[in-house]
Amino acid sequence: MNNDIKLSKVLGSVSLILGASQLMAAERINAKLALGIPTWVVRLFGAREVVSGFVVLAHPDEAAPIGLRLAGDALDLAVLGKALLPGRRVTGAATLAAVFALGVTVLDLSAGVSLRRRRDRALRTAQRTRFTPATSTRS
Amino acid sequence: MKALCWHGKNDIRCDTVPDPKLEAPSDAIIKVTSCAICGSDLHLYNGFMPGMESGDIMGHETMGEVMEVGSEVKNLKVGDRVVVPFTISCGACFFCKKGLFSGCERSNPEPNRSVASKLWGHSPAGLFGYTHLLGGYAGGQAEYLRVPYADVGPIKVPSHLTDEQVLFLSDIFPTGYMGADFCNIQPGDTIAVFGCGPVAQFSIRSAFLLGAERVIAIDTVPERLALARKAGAETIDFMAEDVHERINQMTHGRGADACIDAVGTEAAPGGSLDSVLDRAKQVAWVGTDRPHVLRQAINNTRNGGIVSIIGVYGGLLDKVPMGSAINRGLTFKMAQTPVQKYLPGLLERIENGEIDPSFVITHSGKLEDGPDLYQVFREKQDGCIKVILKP
Repeated sequence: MNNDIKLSKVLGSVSLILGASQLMAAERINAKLALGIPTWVVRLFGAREVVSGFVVLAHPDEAAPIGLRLAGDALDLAVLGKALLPGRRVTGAATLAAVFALGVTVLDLSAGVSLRRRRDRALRTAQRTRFTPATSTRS
Repeated sequence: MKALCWHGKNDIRCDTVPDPKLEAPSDAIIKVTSCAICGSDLHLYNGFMPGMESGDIMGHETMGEVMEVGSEVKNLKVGDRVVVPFTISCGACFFCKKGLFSGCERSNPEPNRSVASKLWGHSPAGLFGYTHLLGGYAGGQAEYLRVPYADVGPIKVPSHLTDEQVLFLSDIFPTGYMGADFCNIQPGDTIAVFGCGPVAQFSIRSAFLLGAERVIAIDTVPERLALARKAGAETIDFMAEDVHERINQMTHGRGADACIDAVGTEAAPGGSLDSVLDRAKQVAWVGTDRPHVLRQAINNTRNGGIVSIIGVYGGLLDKVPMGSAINRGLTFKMAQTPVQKYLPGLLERIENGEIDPSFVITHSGKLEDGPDLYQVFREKQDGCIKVILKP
């Protein structure tokens, strides 16, 4: 019951932890992944993660903040995918990061879809339960 | 029994929980026939009030039929139809004897009392379904409710009135009325009501009942503004107009004789920089409340006027213009409503046909619809203004 909200809260927390790590240990992470990008880009990605984490945790029952995360996932996968192209030196850490990013994207998609369904169901309930004075009761 | 239970921010579920039992000789058990979702329940739903625990039963607007009474209960008997005030009051302490039922010093027992005292200086009364800071009592969005001090709170209601007409005596009608009562309304007065939610709608109608000449209602949701206009209020859409400028235009540049803050801690973040900053501070956990409307209420009250606060705040309010209030001699009045004080008079007004509180209801569902309707109410979707539930 309400696993979509729990998942959304977990994803928001993961964002905060990941983003804080990227902000605080940008140089170490960049060296480990060897993606060939400047360190400030890693920090920028970290800041994005922190913001999306706050937004998701502020609205864990809404699909729109998860959409923000999905846009970030696409960016992460694009950068990691480029690093994994044939002919480039691929580190184990980069492969692990790509697998992690792919897994998180699947979870984000799943949370987004079920939160959207939750919203649609709530609207249907609202339409079904509209009040008319004729339905007044005396207990 | 079935009950709507809190399981964390934005997570309300319809759970099966044990039935309540008499715990003291002054208790009663009622079978809930109607209950409602209150705007202040949204503060819990949205995670802005501390002291909730997973599994807590929500709800403080409740009515029903008495099923069982304790040995000391004299005023109620099995089968009575009653509305239950959201404040729990002993009726015998220093504050209850003064009619300050929401300050009862017995209904919020230890250890909650000490925690509330640390946060607020002293503890107020316990409330149904409203955090462990305020007693940790099970709420009334359930099939059954245990009512402590049953001789003091519940009021018997006549059978010719529907549940929809009397249910709101439990909270929003007395609260809205108290907001207007605080304004000490004199003939010719103009009252500005900030917010057009359910409580505000009762403040608007109560202000007219108490003799206000003009009521100005401020909101941005079209159906809520329309409902305010239906009561005779002039309206301002805060997203479309400058509220201060418009109120000045309407009051010869003086401001309203009294302003009612019927919004409280979750002012909509939009239409002004300070409201957006309040929201940002809250998201970043560096602010407890969003007092944009309180600032507006202060700045739009005329010199020597009254600021009536009935919207709920929970913590420490930032950048409230006390300089304006002190230099212009404003009076502040605020409270959690001492419902019992207002009940007999308001029931009489309903019986006399002066007001039919059912005007505010837009949705009526079963308890199982509660989680969905919480979301709809918060989002103000489908024209939702007030939700009642029938267990």
